[in-house]
Amino acid sequence: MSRFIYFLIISNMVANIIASIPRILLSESEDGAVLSMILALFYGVFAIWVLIKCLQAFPGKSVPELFSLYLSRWIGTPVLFILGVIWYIAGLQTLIAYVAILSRFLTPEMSIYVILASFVLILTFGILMQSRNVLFSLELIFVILLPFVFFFIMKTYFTEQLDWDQVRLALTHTHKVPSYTVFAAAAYLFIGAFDLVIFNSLMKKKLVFKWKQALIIFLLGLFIMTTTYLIPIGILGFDKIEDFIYPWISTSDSMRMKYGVIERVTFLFLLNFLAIAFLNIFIHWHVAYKLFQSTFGVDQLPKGKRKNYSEAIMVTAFWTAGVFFTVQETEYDLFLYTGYYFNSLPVVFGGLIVLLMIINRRAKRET
Amino acid sequence: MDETEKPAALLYINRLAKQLAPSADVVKKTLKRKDETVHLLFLKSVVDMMQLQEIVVKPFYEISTEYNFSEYIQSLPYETAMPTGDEEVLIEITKGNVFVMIGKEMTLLELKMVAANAVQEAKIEQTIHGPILGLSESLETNLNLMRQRYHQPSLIIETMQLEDCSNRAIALLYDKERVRPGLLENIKKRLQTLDVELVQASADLQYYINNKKRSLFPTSLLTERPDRIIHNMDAGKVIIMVDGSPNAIIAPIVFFDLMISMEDNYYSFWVVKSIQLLRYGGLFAAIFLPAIYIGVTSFTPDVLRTELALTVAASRIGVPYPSFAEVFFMLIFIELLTEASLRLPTMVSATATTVGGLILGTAAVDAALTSNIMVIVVSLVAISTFVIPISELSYAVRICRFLLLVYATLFGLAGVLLGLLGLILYLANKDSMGEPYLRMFWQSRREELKVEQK
Repeated sequence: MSRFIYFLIISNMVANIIASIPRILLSESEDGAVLSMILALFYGVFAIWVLIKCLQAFPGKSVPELFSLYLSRWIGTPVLFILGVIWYIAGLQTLIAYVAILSRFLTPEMSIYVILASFVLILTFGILMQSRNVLFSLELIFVILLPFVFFFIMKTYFTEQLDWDQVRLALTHTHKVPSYTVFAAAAYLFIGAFDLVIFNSLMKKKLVFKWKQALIIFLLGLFIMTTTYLIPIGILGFDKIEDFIYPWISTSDSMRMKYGVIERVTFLFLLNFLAIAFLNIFIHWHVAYKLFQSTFGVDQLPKGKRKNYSEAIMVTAFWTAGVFFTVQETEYDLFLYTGYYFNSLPVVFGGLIVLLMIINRRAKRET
Repeated sequence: MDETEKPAALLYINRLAKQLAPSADVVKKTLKRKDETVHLLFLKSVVDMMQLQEIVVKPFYEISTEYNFSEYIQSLPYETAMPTGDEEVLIEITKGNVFVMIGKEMTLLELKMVAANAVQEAKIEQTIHGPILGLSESLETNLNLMRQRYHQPSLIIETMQLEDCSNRAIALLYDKERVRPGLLENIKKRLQTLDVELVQASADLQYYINNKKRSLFPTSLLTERPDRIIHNMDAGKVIIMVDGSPNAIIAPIVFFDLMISMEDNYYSFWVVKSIQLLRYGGLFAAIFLPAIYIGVTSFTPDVLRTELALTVAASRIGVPYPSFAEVFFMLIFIELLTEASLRLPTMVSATATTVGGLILGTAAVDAALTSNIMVIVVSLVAISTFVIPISELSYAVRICRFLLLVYATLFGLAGVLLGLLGLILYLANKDSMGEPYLRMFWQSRREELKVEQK
């Protein structure tokens, strides 16, 4: 399997440590959170396996291309549109969460519009990049950041404040009935691999997904999930953990680097995860943009004024909606709506996989 | 000799001579001996007269009658291919070819004299252990230098003529076993479709073949070092040389090529790795330090540990304006100083830097126009800029620094980080002759090449 798929998966997993997922997971900590997460872990690996099995037959073809080849336009176009919206929201929820975090923790005096403005230019550039270069920059930024992220996570594991008794306490709730929202939110961690709907056009070699790859993804998921869920509990305590809005920022702010130039770990955390969240937004929106492009047939247009105008209109629409929702949504709304969003995902992706299976059968019948 | 052909041939050489007239250096000579006549047409400013005398004039009178002089001329190794059309023949003559006509047989002999063919010392990319001499300003000498250093039959030299008004010769060099055919085609196509008025040197040609009118970062590498050329040619790259320019263009390149000094090949592994680490640290400092200073002093002082934050704040006591004004003021000052000392003659530039350094060092701080720490930051930035081995990159870095400053001024520390990401995206989205400009390389150069060739 191409290394880029791992990068896509890991970047999505790490980025969501900070956004709304921990809060959703921890909100059910006294109920079925642990069991739901275990289920989600198996479901996530299974979903990636099915996805790659479906795409294996078509190296170098993106899902929009497959749709136009094997499905009628009446089914393909609406599905592409829905997928585009799903990916757009995936980026948007990270963006909203991060703008809120920045205005709360890093630059409290700054207006929300100014914070958003800092994203506009660079994200727009990122959306319009060539897909190949998107993957290259993902890899590069990732390699630069990963040491810091690793340092940070290790720091949380070895900090004195981490109370393993609280962790044990959390694990005593394993037998509770699982909750669907927690399951969906935890399964969302694996969604990075689904960026392949677009990036598969760059995977010229046949994708391989065997026990080894499954094990790697399983272990990655296990590690990220335990870290996301158990470390805040260990550091902040099990009782009332569900009341934290950003459990991970409080967690990181409880640590200090005694001899560092930067003393409060939280700044290292914030800036690092800002970069990873940015990657996440930028990749999701790039995928969304490509999906919308094929929905409206913009990618078929010849190079020229019409194409430029339609691209400009799409980017403007992205940002209009982006600014509107970022300014409108309170933190409570964000929590509520991302919950709904996560709930819808297993259904949508189930549908996508069914469609891909149909495409697979049609392709086989044709040959 | 055929009597009827003669006037026609004479007419032709007269026509050529007329088109070159009234230039002072046109020479039209007729050598006569018994029944044999030879017409010569050349420009004496570009032709080596001694050679002409030795090779053409003397043998003509010394050769015994039973041998044919025209056969002798044909067998000379100096012959260049005769182009069709008057215009092309004239261009060949202006390049230093001698037009020889024996009867109706026309030949071009390359007997050119190049004044500036001395190999120059490598001044810009100096190394301690590498070769000291660089390229020369004559294409022939440069090609000779390359062949001297790379004895492989697979080294291909292709010359072409620029389609601008100077009609200069350019040469493409590559190792045909290593270069990718698609890449070579791409470069040739760009050179052939070049639409420019005048190319003076490799330096401006590299921007024309870029296909981008405006760019900040160099997408091909300009070098004066033969060892760098060989090093890159061995990695499957294409070298372009322009006659009259002591620099060669290397294309395509990746960003990391701009951070390599040839010295890196001449030291032991760990030394090189440490130096490279230092160099990348310098690059980072040169781009980010001023922006981080703004972010930390004006937006989020609590990032630093308390003692350090207080030191920074204390040093800014009495500075009457916000930190971004201070940074802009100092950076523009240091840019002026750098620019002034680069352009001035060496003797004067020493004075300029001394005066500037004095003002920067103490007077600006005493006058409370800037803080002590800012002076440290600015000098660190200035020194770090000089660590970058390729000067084109250091120019680009100097501009990037200001762009990031704007981002830091508007958006604070988060802006600095987003600016960094933007810079990486910008570089990753660039391409050099269709090859990605910035990406990770996991394998060694040769393995990477193999993968691409598949």
